[in-house]
Amino acid sequence: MLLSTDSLTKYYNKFLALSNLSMSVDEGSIVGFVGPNGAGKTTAMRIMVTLMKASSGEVFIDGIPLSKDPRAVRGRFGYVPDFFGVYAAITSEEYLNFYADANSVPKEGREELIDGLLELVNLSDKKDADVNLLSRGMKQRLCLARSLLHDPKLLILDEPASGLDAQSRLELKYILQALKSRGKGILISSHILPELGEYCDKVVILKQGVKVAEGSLEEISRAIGRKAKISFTLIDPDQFEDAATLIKMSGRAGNVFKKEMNLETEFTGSEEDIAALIYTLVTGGIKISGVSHTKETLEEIFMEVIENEGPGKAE
Amino acid sequence: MKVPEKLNNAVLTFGMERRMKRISTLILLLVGIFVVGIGLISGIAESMVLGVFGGGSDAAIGYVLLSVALFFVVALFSALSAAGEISGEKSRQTLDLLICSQLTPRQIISGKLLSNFLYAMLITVIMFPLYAVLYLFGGFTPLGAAEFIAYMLVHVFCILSIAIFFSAKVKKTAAATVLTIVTYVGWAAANGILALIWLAVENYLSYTYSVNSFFTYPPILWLNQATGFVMLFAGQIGGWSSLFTGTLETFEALIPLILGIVIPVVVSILCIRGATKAVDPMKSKKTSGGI
Ligand SMILES: Nc1ncnc2c1ncn2[C@@H]1O[C@H](COP(=O)(O)OP(=O)(O)O)[C@@H](O)[C@H]1O
Ligand SMILES: [Mg+2]
Repeated sequence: MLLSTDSLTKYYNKFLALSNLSMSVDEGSIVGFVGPNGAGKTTAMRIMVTLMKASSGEVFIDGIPLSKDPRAVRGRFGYVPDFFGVYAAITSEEYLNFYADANSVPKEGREELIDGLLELVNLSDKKDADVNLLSRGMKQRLCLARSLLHDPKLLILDEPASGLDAQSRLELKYILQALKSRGKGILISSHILPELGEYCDKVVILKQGVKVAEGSLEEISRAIGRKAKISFTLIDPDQFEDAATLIKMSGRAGNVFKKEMNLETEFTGSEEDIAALIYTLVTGGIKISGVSHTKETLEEIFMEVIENEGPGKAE
Repeated sequence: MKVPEKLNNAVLTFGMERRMKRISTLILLLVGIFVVGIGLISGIAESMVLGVFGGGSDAAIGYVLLSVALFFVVALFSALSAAGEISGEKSRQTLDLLICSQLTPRQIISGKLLSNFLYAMLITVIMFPLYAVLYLFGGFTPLGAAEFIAYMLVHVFCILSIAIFFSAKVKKTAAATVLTIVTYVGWAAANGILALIWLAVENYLSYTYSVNSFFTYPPILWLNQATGFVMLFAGQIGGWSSLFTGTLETFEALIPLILGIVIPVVVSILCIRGATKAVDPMKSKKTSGGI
């Protein structure tokens, strides 16, 4: 486990911004940290990156307790804040060089390192450009390159996609996937989710400072009992009855509806369960010409969780 | 010049490099000051030749004028540039990135402080030829000028430390600048007012009860940095008597000089500590970070 937190709690004066957050990020995985504005994502991340002290609880990075050795911890993560600026009148190369110095990156091989990182974030042609003149998306990528200078295993990215256009978001996604394949653990926060869902191995959902769900999309969607929609296209209308019976016998389906040549149902279960159902239908002699199932998007799960769980529920 | 390992940090070198980039502007400025200085000195020399003023005291006046001007230029410049160091990082939103780096809070503060101090020293050194010109006309010794510059640099260091402290404490550079100037100048001014009150009380006592003071001037002025400067000048330009009537006891000249070094050193240490603590999220009690 690269990152784990143990009952992180943060009060701003009397206001409880983060309550008993325990979560983890593994090597080679992307963890989405989601929640509406003001949920406490930035608060949690700022505690993780040693910029703020927790009121109670502990963060472990690479097994090192943050409160015991903040400096050792600082060498082990790369951080891209939600808002950040750059110095005036320096080039991308000078910018990266300065932070490499600040992070005690050896001078030998510095040039290759910087070239490599600029290439990774697709800014090779901006090496000598004034950082202030870069677009927001480019600055975001430069900041990501900066966070990688000391080759940390863990990346903590606070809403890196906000304010980016679709193209830049896509580029960001490819870069993150490349980093994941290099074994990095990535914690990425967002209050808007559609793109995150596709490439997060796990999401942690936060609401008013409280974790309301943690797990893969599937785990979460099962936990909240939300059904995926499956639709079977049959060839023979006479088989609708039998098929519907078989589907209901699986014990995982809700009501079965007939729509033109399709049988639709809400289904609670894993991919394996869906495969088993298809097998049952086919071996039961039902002629199926097509199956489609719409997995819930992160957005839908998110809305569901946010509406039903957590501290707001009791009211 | 080899920078000691402990002080050799990215903030320091980055700060110096960025300043050196702007050095051309500085050189232009200094050439300007130099020309004005030459004009001033040749004016004095001319008046000497014409015998309008008596003897070597004109070079002495030039020396005092130059020294005061030098101090004000360097001090003001330092206050203005250092007060923006940390608050500027805050408003630019770059401070967090420094704190998360391998630089310790102490290195961040010392890097900022030393890059400013080295720059102040550089300005001072560049201005030094003006003293050489004054020296040609006599009236003071090079050692005297060196003493003044050493004393001045202690105070510049103190002003820088105060500026960095306020810069680390407040969000706005303007506020840090004002606080720095008010602290340094305000202390001298408040002290001066207290000295005036002291004098008034002394006068009253001597008038009413014929109690005469043991001191030539109110000893509260020992704590005033301006007194130290005055003593340095007085010692240089022809004895204490040129500034004070009556005889000044030696300790009355030495104490403000010694305190004029000890106090800024202590203030600097306190400010550096305070600033270091202010940029260390693991130490500061502040609940919020960022801006
Ligand atoms: N420095 C602060 N002082 C007081 N309250 C704060 C501070 N920072 C954040 N908060 C409050 O804490 C809550 C969580 O904020 P934040 O962590 O920024 O949420 P998110 O990043 O999920 O949008 C919000 O209600 C916010 O108003
Ligand atoms: Mg946030």
